[in-house]
Amino acid sequence: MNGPQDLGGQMGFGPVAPEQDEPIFHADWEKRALGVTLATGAFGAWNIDESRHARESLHPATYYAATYYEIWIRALEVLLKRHGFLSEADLAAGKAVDGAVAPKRVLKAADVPAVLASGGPCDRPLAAPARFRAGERVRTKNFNPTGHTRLPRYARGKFGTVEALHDGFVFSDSNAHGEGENPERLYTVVFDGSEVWGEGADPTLTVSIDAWESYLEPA
Amino acid sequence: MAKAWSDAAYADWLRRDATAAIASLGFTGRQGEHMQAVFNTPDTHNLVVCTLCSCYPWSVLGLPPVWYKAPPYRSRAVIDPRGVLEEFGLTLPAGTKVRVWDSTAELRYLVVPLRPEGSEGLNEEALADLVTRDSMIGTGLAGVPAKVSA
Repeated sequence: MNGPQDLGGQMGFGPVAPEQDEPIFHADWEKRALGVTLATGAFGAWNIDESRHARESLHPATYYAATYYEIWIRALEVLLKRHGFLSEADLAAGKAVDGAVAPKRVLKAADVPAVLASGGPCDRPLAAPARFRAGERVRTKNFNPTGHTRLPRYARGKFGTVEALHDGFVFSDSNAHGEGENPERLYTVVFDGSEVWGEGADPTLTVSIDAWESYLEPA
Repeated sequence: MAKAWSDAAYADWLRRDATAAIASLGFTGRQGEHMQAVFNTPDTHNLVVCTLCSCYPWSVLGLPPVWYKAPPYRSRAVIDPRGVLEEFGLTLPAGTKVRVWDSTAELRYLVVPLRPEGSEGLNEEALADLVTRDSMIGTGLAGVPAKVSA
């Protein structure tokens, strides 16, 4: 979706503000926000793509005014409500007042290190041969889906070159909506700065994205 | 990084299969399942961003800094990387090519900075001290050995 998350090339946000020796967390609640996000993610009720889509579906005014952990927590409220773990009444009361769905899985504290260490690979074997080869010129799809996509606006309808082929990967655009993993081959596609940004582009710039096969057409 | 600078076979492994090469040093796990190492060269500087969210190799670099997740960096890294780098105090030569990697899928990028000049005699441990987090995102360079800068 053309949501607030799709920031590439947007203007007006001001300079980057690197902090000297920044702390890992800027407030205690941020630790909790990360912990709650990981713990509820472990319920197995939604996947990373659905959670990303919940974040980008926040109202733009909310998204841009929020810190990143606040974005996570606001989106988490949506996910918890959608999947029956939380009600408006619970939120209003600040504690559980309604019955809730029991999670299929619960992440026990003792298991956290092992779960974090094992991660969640999302490459998938593919039977189909690759449609494109390294070095091939391609054009990215031009579309404006209302659902989740990982093809940023700045890279739509653009000519680029396939630089690398990767394995099959879970297709975020369908996985975010409970429509299955539908793995597709992933490609690193590189664009000249001038193709993406046109007049005035930095002549030394190239930008690459990782594009699922259905984002690409032969050029 | 220090191992890649001092061990050509390791550097080659890192280039071919970064996930396995990095795992061999004990760094594995969430948000590091599919690693790609991108090597700076004398004529190309690499910079990593996630314009769409905050994709970052947790298992190698830890949690991302606030600026990496915030709109100024995410919006400008792809259109004005040189301007962004200036804000980190890094001015690239005009002729250096800039390659920006937008982490739009589940591959997580790690920049292999150039080995600093003057570091020839250093062992792996001393070399490791020259590597900063920012140099592995691309918003910095590996440091200059103290005895050379002094």
